[in-house]
Amino acid sequence: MASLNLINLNKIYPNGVHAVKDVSIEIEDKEFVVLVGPSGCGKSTVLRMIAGLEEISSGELYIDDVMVNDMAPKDRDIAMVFQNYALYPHMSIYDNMGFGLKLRKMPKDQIKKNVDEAAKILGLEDLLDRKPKELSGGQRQRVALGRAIVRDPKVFLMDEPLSNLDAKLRVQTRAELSKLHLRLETTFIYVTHDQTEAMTMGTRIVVLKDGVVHQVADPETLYNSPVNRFVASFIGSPQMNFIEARITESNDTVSIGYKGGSVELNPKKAAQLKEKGYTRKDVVLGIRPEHIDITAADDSEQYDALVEVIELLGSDTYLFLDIAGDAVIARVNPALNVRVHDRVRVQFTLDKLHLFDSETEEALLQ
Amino acid sequence: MKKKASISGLLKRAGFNFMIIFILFYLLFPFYWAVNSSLKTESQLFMTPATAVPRDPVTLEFSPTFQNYSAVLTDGQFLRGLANSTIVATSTTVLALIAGSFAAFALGKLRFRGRKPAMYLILAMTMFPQVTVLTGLYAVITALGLSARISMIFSYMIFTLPFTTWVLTSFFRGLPDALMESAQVDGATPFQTFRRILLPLTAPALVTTGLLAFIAAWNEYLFALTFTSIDPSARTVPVAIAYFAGAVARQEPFGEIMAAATLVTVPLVVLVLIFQRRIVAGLTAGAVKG
Repeated sequence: MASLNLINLNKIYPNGVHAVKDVSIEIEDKEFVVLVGPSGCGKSTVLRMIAGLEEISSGELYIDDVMVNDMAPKDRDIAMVFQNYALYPHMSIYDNMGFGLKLRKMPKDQIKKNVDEAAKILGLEDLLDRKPKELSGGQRQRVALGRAIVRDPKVFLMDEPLSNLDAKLRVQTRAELSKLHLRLETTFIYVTHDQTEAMTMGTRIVVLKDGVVHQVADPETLYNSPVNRFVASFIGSPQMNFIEARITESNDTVSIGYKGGSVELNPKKAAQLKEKGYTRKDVVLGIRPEHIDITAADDSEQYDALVEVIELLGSDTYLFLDIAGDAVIARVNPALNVRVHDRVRVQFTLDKLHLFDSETEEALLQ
Repeated sequence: MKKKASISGLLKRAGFNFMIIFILFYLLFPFYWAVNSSLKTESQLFMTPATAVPRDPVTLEFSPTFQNYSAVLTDGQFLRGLANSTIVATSTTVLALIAGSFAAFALGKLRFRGRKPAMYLILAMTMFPQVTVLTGLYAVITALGLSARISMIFSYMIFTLPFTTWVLTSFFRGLPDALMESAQVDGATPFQTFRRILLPLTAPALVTTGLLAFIAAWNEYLFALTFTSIDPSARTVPVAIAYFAGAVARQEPFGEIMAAATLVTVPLVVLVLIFQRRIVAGLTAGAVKG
């Protein structure tokens, strides 16, 4: 149980690569923080710096108000779950889990108590005598977790622990990890490139790209009000649609015009834009697939879009639309009766509209 | 058409089998001849044509003799040589493995300045022919007043240590970094990581390199001959065999030499058989990333 404070962390490798740039994050006790971003964004490096496996080039790292920049990993009281689990192949599961305690000179009966307890939580009781190579991927993953749990560390660090599991097991383990977090009441820091993992498990999510933190927020905020185009595109699946557009102003109304049509903004949003001076300017319109309403065009002259591809997922249907040359994906009710090459009418849910500056890619509406 | 194909297939297989037989013959014949000769008496040895098995000179019946073996096994020189060789080869192997695995851990897993130059320096040490360092070493040993056995153990490291270091380095490098990091986070010091996690995993490589180092030290002749010249009681087996004297002047006791050579090979064969499985694992394991 601990709070962490990352202040302007930088990582510059000897070959000049600047992997982590001025990362500052405050992590409170008992939080489940997820670092998410595309591969190579520096998320693992941040985690390894917290663990002490990677030197901090500049900046300060505090665990419970103690600066740990120069502290060895073993003195930081952290536990880490590695992507490939890194179980000790020559030791039994029991020894794997007890290794850290043995090194800390914990009495044998206490070690046994801790290991048995962790094994019970994770359902590993019957496997304690086996060697790692006799276990399935899912079981090994749980042993790696167990090795962290028995230590009762201040902070749990996890580096893409689910990426080696098959899809079904991953969904299952996701829920188990969330439960584990509630049960252990410890700070979790979790690294992944999978936005679904981030959204489902994190109490707070840090979105990183090219070593820079783009947004730190809870899942709901991240989904509803991304601060820029990158975050908007990274969170949500299928990803948000982006359409080139232009802000026009006539009389008292402000509207967004794009190739296939235009939408009128409500006065509140119009005021926001005016305040920032964004009228008569090129912008990027963002709309999530689930915020697009599709109705069949009854009049063949009056239509907005052409259906190019239909993907049936059972619970949802994805329509790949062509709106006057712009490719847009819409998520619709499977009951909707449309076929490929149908002409349809499209309506965007107005208060779910996002606007981004074409150049800076910053979000313009709150 | 089909027949033709099968004929060429047959030829290929015949050629392949012939190759195998030739290679086996090439490798095993000297050993067979040593055993054959060791079972012959002096007069049987000088029969012309030489016989493939020991035969009685008159009746040509199969009649092996074990007199060479009993002579060798009661020879104090030979037995002392055996003891010396065991001491020297074992110490050399153990020291080479200890120092080699320490060095290999550092060279294979730790980052430090001058790692590459160190690797090449170690490799370069093996390039000098033994003869070139011999006189220099002899001078050093006499100056330091080292005993013959100690000087053999240390000088054998010249060729065993670079070898064990190189093989073990590639093996250590093949072990996943995450294992080390995991141990580090678990609270292990670098030495504990080495001793508790990495060393047990390198066991197959330790056995293989250890065995090869042992064989090299066991068979070494030049250094042993030179360094024991002042102390005949420290002679190792190869030197002791070379000093075998016949009953009369200028007589070479071939039978006894062959019996001794055969006996000397036995420990090596036994060691190889004991560790057979591990050796195969060790020779291939370093190559593929585990």
